[in-house]
Formats: sequence, structure tokens, C-alpha cells
Amino acid sequence: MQSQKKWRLNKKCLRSIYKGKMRKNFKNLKEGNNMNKKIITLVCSIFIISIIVLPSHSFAATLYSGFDGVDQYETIGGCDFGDRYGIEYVRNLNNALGSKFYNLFSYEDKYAWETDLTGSAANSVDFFAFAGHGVGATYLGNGNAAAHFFTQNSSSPPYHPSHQTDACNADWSEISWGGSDSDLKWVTMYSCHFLQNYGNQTYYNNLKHIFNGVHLVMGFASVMYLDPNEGTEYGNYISAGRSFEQAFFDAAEKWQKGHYDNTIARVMGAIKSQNDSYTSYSTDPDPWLQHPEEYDHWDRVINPT
Amino acid sequence: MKSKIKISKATIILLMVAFIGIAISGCGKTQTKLPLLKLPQWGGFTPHDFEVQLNADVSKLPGQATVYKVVPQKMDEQTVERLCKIFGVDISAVTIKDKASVVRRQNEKDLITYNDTGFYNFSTKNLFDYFPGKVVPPEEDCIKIAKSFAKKYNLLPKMYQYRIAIGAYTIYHPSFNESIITDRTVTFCPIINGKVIRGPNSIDITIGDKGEIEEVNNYLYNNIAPLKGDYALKSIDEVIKELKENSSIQWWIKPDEPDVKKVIINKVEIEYYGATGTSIKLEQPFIQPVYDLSGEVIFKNGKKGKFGVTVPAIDNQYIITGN
Repeated sequence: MQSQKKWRLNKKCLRSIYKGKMRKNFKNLKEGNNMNKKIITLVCSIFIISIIVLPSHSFAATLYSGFDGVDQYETIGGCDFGDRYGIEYVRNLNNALGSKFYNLFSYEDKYAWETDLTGSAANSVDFFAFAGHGVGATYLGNGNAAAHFFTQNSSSPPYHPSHQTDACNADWSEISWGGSDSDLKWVTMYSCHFLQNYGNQTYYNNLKHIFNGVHLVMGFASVMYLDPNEGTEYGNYISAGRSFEQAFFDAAEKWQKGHYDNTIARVMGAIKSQNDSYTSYSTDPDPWLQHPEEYDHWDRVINPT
Repeated sequence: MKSKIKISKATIILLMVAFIGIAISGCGKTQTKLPLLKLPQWGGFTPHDFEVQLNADVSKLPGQATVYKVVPQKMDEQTVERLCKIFGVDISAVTIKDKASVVRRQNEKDLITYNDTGFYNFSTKNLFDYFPGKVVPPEEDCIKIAKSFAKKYNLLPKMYQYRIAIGAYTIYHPSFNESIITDRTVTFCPIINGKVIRGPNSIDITIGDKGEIEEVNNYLYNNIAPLKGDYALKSIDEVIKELKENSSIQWWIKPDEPDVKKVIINKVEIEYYGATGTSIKLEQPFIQPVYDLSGEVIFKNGKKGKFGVTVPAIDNQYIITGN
């Protein structure tokens, strides 16, 4: 049993190295910049160190994290939604998590792509967070909210032909988190509207599609504010052994006190996973669409101060 | 010789007069320079290329304001003992300890104390729990319970007055067909000289079943001290210029839609903002005044909405550039 687990984790490590760090560096190589030699050396080093070091981590049930953070929507991408503190948030979160999670990838700005959420990257880690712009279910015209990118699944221009371009939006219908081929348990979407259904049952049903075995998704059901310190606070609470739900709500309570209107922090997921912390967590739930009775959502309505 | 003495006396007097003049004029050259206030960024659509109409009466706005500085504080042993007593956690029940914080966990209670800020978080296992028969008191009762708890244990620093906000935790399950409140949070926001201090500076008390205290989060520094000499504030023209340029400001627009054509400012107020950092460390120690603008927006399609904007108020000559 133990050897089977070790084999699985080793496979996971290799898969993750390939899909995570290798891909990021592949993005760099494609650009043909003069950092290529350094990058090749770095990739080789990471690979060799990983082969030597990671198997020993495997016995300790290592948890893996991955992040997408977008700042320069306007400066690089020409997206008039404007620049935001996406990178700072995920960096702070990653730092605060410290050694509790082994960080497999951190894609920033032009290296952050829609396919990181819709493809295998997010599903290859235990904890994934995105920070940047989000668009609500009313915006794209297909009843699905989305995480917004300025890239089109490439680090090279052309960027962002329009806000509605499919490759610039990872929408609910394209996302399937969790499942038999996935390690993903917890997701944080630090963006506006990602978990908002506007009281509309059709939107709510569309949203259920993303829950294919992921335990909990933390996010917002309203517009929100971005503050890098919230990443630090959230990561510290997680590291202190608090549940993901409490950690997310408490960090939001502190940093989302808007002055004019409510902010709604929302956690959605399996009832049995509500108290998941990084030290103690439930088994993988069945997909929401198969067992809707096993799912809830919890809201923290943060009133203006 | 005499004339030389006379000249030097005159020079000394002249220098003294000049020195006193500079000091009285308060031209600010000697005032502490301040870091650029870091406001959280509004996640919604940011307007571009819009008209501004000022309807508010700005004639009575002050030209100067006091800036406050946080007096740093540490978590001392006495305070830890006191908190453990208040929340019923054994002081020896340490489960995690690092340079920045100590976590104590016992009897389904959890107390985190922060060494370098003096902040703390307490919570019980019942937080967010829903069970049939759970009764959360109505808002007014929760406010009374929170006030009484804070007073009993002397949790609110005396140097502020407080504005109270109340929020709620809810659970939604398809079988309920509605959201059910599982807890309510009473937030004590500090007020200094009649102006609220916004930002991550508050004490939050969460109340659950039958008035049980389920969580207390303290993110408030006990003392802030005024900096010497008031600071000149930006003129309203400068504020409107920054509003149009979208520089270092925080928007709020409802509905969250693009294509704002016109912003109509109906109200301008001065408040404070403290970007004091996380529970781990004090970031910007200054509590700075901000302009709070609010009013109407008109979108390009003719639809109307509301807006609010926060703009750092201190004149840019006192702000450290390049940070």
C-alpha cells in the first residue's frame, strides 16, 4: 500500500514538474530571449533536485500548491479593466503558506493563461489560487462567470482582442476541478463575481459544473477589493491550522470592508469538507451534479463600515 | 570694531527672525514625509475618459488635517494571560509557535496571539455551524451582547469612539430554499476626532447560538499619536484631476458596469484611512486623511448609478515619491 502511494506521488511529482515548472520555462524558451541558457540550467537543476528530494517528501503526504496572478492587464495587455494587485496577492499567499505546501507553479501576468484553470495545471495541485479580474455570469452572454486573462494561452501578443474573447476567459462551463485524475481539493478565486449567481437558478446550475470532486471553492459573490495583505492574512490563518473556510472568511472580513456597499465572500463545496484544513480534510466528494444534496454554500456578508 | 559688532548683531537678529518666520509659517519643509497611502484596489470596472460635475459645497472643507502615527505595540505575557482567562484557554495549550505568532488550541477553542502587533484572534468550533434549533439573536440584541462583552473585558481601546457595523454569516442548502443566518458579526470601527478610521483596523465580535461569543478578532492598535503640525490637504481641483487620471484612488460603482460617461459629485467628506498592515507586522504606521467623494454616475447608455471614490488627501509635497 505504502509503495503504491509512493509510486503515485512520484508519478505526481514528475507529472507536476513536467506540467508546472517545465511549462513555465517552455513559455520563456518560446520567446527566444537571452535567458535561455540560465533557464535550461534552472530546469535541469529543478529536475535533478526534485528527483533526489521529492521522494522523501512523499512519505509526509506533501501538499502541492499552484498560483495564477495577473497584475498588468492594461500595461501589458491593453485590457481597460485596469491593472490590479493579482501577483502581489498570490505571492503573499504563497509566502505565508511557507513549507505547508510545496509550490509547483506560479504563473504571473503574460505566463498566466486560461488553460491553467481549464486544463491540467490547477488539477495537478492540492491547492490552487487565482488573483485578478473576474467577470460575472451576466457579462459573457453565456450565463457563466469567468476568471479573466489578458493573454490568449500564449505569452506572446496578440493580447486581449476583446473582453469576451474565449481564450481570455476561463468560464464555468470550461472548468472541471477534481475527479479521479486530479489532486485538487481547494481553490481560491480572488476576483470579482466568480461565485455569484445573482439569485438566478440557471446560473447556479452552471456554477455546479466546476465541482467535479474539488472539496471547496472560496471566492466572491459580488465586486470585491484587491489588497496584497489579504493574501498574507489568509495564508497565515491556513498555516495556523484553521479551516480554509474560516481562514478565507476572516481574511475577507478584515480586508473587504468596503465603505459603500456589501462585499459577499462565499465558500461553496461539499458539506463534509466544510471544516477541511491543511492538516485534516475529508475524502474527495462526488461531483455536485451527481449528488446535489451533499453540497452547500456559505456566505459572509461584509457590511460597509 | 564697533561697526563689525553691530553688523554681526544685526545678522544674528535677522537669522532669528527668519528662523521664527519659517517655523510660524508652517511651510511644512520640516514635517515628516509620509508614504503614499496604499488603498485596496476596487475589483470592478474602472471608468476612463469621463466628465466630472461638482455639485457638492466644498467651501467648508478644511485646508489642513492632523496625521496620526501608530504607537507600536507588542504582545506581552500579562496580556496573553488575560486573554487566556477571558476566552477559557489554558496558557500552556500551545500547539503552534513561531516568531510571529502563538496558536493555543484547547476544548474546541482556538486563540492566536501575534507577537509584534499585539493583535489576537479567538474562535470556537461552533463558528459557522448550522444545526436545527440554532437561534442567532436579532441584530439589535447582537450589538448589545457584543458591547457588553467588550465592556466587561475592557477590549476596546479608550482613545477611540466607535461606529458599529453588523454583518452576517449564512448557509444556503437547496432543501432550505433560503439562506439561514448562522452567526452575526458586530464590527467596532474606530473614530478619531469625529472621523472614522477606515481600513483593516477594527475589533470584530461574532455571535452565534443563543448569544454565544463564537469569535473575536482584534486588529486595532491601542494608541495613535498626532504628528506635529497639521498637514496641508490637496485642493478639490487636484482631487478631481487625480480622479480623472485614476491615480492612487479607490473606486466603487454600482451597478458594476463599464462605460461611465459622467460622474456627478454630490458629497465630499474627509475621513481617515490606516493601511497599517497585517496581524504579523505593522506596515504603514500613519493614519492619513482621505477625501471621500460620492454621488451619481451616468453611463453612456443613459443608465444611472451610484459611485464612491476614496482619494488620499495629503498634499503631494508631503508624500515620499517613488514608493
